[in-house]
Amino acid sequence: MNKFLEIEKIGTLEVDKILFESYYPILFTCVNEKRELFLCLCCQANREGKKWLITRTSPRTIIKILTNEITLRESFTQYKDIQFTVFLNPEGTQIIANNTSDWDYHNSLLLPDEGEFMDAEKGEFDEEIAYYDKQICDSYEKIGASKVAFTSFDEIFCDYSIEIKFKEGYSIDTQITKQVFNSFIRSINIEPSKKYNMEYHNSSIGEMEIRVKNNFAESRAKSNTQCSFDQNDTNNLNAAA
Amino acid sequence: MRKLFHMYPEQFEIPDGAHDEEILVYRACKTQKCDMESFTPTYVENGCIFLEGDDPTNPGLYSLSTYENPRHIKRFVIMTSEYGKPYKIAKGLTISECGPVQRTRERNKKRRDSHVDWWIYPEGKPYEKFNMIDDFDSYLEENVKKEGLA
Repeated sequence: MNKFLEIEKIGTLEVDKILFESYYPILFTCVNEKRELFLCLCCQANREGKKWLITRTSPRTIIKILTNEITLRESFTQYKDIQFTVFLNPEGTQIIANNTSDWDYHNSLLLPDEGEFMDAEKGEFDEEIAYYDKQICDSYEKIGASKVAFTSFDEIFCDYSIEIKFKEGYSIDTQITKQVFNSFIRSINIEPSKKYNMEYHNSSIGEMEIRVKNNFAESRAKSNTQCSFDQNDTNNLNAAA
Repeated sequence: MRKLFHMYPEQFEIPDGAHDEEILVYRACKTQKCDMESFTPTYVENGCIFLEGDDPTNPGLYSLSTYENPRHIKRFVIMTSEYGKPYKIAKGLTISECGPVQRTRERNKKRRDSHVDWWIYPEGKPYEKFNMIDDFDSYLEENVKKEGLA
């Protein structure tokens, strides 16, 4: 992978996948040392310099872009905690965090045009979709593995919070957390770069392991490429959370 | 052939696969007109200087960027902040009197998009052979319908 940029708050970014390009990459994803995923757009490349918008993202959001389920502008404004405008010119590099005007959904002049989708054609991004989908599946596998490997809630909590945080966005974390732990979780508070704060119902570890194993096996059996849990589970979870 | 591109630096080499071919392509017009400014390769437009991060050995840096697929030219304008609205797209053939062409994916196997590099001779006037599309969104819609019927 090619080194792209270093930003103090998030680390060294390397180009992960280019989704659209001219003679230079325009829309692409990057990863940092922790394998966190970022969505990048080169919105300007002229004699004044090059300008990029960089935000945190998740594999699921990228898949939504590539299947025309989310507009490009929406995909850039989903995660408000990490939004950088980077301007590179002969005088140097300016990195501006959370500049509200560049990132304002309704008024930004730099974000992709409002209401516009990738307009991907059928099959055009199959390879990329499989790549990002595998990242989601990997996360599920690691969660599943950690559930059965550890013997106390604290250890599970610690391991899984690290895994998920590095692999997925917070909204997905919440969803997966709820789904995997099912009704064992009563509340989840998520803050950027902070640990999860959870309270568990009194249930035996053995019971939890069986449920997680069953959920996981069921989800894997349903599809080779798309990892999702039973809708009934989700309903129960929503009620429980 | 290199002498025809005398304004380009030493690092520029026309790729082996560049050839004469009339390909129907689309070009986004910054001035919203089919004029010389809208058909100036980026390197020249930038005053023949390299921008930070540019690779001087990349032949694509010196070409006129066009796309064969109208969806891709739209993708380009909606993601780039340099094109005013309503964006204007011109359509035409890459005639050989203006310079050789190459589909970018022919030299970069990783690429699957429809980007076409067109290296314009100094005396080339491609804009004279292109026509502006009045309403590109409607044009694209019609195109999609035709694809569906095909």
